[in-house]
Amino acid sequence: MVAMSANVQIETKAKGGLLGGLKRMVTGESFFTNTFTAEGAPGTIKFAPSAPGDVEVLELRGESYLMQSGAYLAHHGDIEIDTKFGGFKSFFAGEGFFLIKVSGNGTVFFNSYGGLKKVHVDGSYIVDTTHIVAFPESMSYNVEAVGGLKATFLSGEGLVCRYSGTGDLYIQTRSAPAFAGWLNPFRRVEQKKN
Amino acid sequence: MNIEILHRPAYAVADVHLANGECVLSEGGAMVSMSDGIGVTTSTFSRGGGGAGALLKGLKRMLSGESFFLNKFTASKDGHVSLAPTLVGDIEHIKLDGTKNLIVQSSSFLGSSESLEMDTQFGGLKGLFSGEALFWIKFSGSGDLLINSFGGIFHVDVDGTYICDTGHIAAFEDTLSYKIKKVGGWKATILSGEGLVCEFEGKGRLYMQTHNAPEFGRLVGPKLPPRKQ
Repeated sequence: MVAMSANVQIETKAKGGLLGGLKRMVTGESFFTNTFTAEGAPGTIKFAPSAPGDVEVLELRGESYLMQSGAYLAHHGDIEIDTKFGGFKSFFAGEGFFLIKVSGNGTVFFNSYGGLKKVHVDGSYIVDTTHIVAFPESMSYNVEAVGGLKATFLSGEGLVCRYSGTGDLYIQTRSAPAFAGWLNPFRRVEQKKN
Repeated sequence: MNIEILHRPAYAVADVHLANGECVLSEGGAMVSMSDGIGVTTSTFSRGGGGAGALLKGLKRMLSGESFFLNKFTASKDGHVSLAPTLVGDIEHIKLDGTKNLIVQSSSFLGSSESLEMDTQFGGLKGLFSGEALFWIKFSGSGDLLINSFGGIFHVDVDGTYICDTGHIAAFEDTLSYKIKKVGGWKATILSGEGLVCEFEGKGRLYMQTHNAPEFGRLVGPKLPPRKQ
């Protein structure tokens, strides 16, 4: 939340109880969720993500999307937010074990690091794992190496995700792990004790 | 090859559309996504495609701390490759026609067509960014070149003399001659925070970036927990 009208009330709770809170935490989201309600009169709330980038709206009519941890911003309507184990393949992609699953009927706001690019896929499409933001649960995917063995080790491209099926993928034009890697040499070096 | 730049100016990404059989070279790690049917090969140098000469050049670069790998994306059917830099900023598409050569700062190089000659031997400004692992690449011949900037990108058509902070240079035409200078007297060099500048002379285009990446690294890096040796 960035700002809001004075008549908006916040209610903080661990939705889904202790387990629900913990499940959210493994995807890098907060243990608690806030519900904002305009009371007595209409009001406005502004939301913004932490990284510089875009915010996009997803209107769900019964379908499900999977999102990279950290991509969920807010929702309204009858939306269920769940944590999905992405399998060990997502761990090897350096993205952690878990994905956020959003489903139901309503509006979901999600964010990217850099610009958000929508790609309509009909067939097969390849995305660097650190650039994935959201994709329909109905699409199948496989994490694989790029090119041959030499390319995998030297290319700097790491692992890619190959999507198959039909649907819209959301891709971010910058990579947070790549930025962190760029920044790393600028950290101070720890002095050895004694 | 048809190039489309989207999400300008802050989060620019270049969609390189390739026809069957065409290819594009890029800096390692620049690939965001690509369509099915694009093959990837990695090399340490663009020309020759292997052999002792290429290997030697690659080794030379590694020894000098310049780990520079090139990926070659080749389309086996019509498709596209999306390329983006690491930092927030813009991308510019430059077409070289063989009449002018362009000298590009290594972190500003994003991608190029294979027809361009790449030469990393150029060491005119070497040692300028000690510790930053930056070097310069000279592009000649005709073809497409993609350069990226930290922040916005703009150009100045120099005719005479022009002074630019070394950290803000993205690329320049080699019709310009240059020398590294300190700004003002010693007092100004030490106290002004301006460090070294590049004085260009002659007639040619200078591409500049509005932000200085090593400066940004030195601003944020020390605020992070120290790393192990």
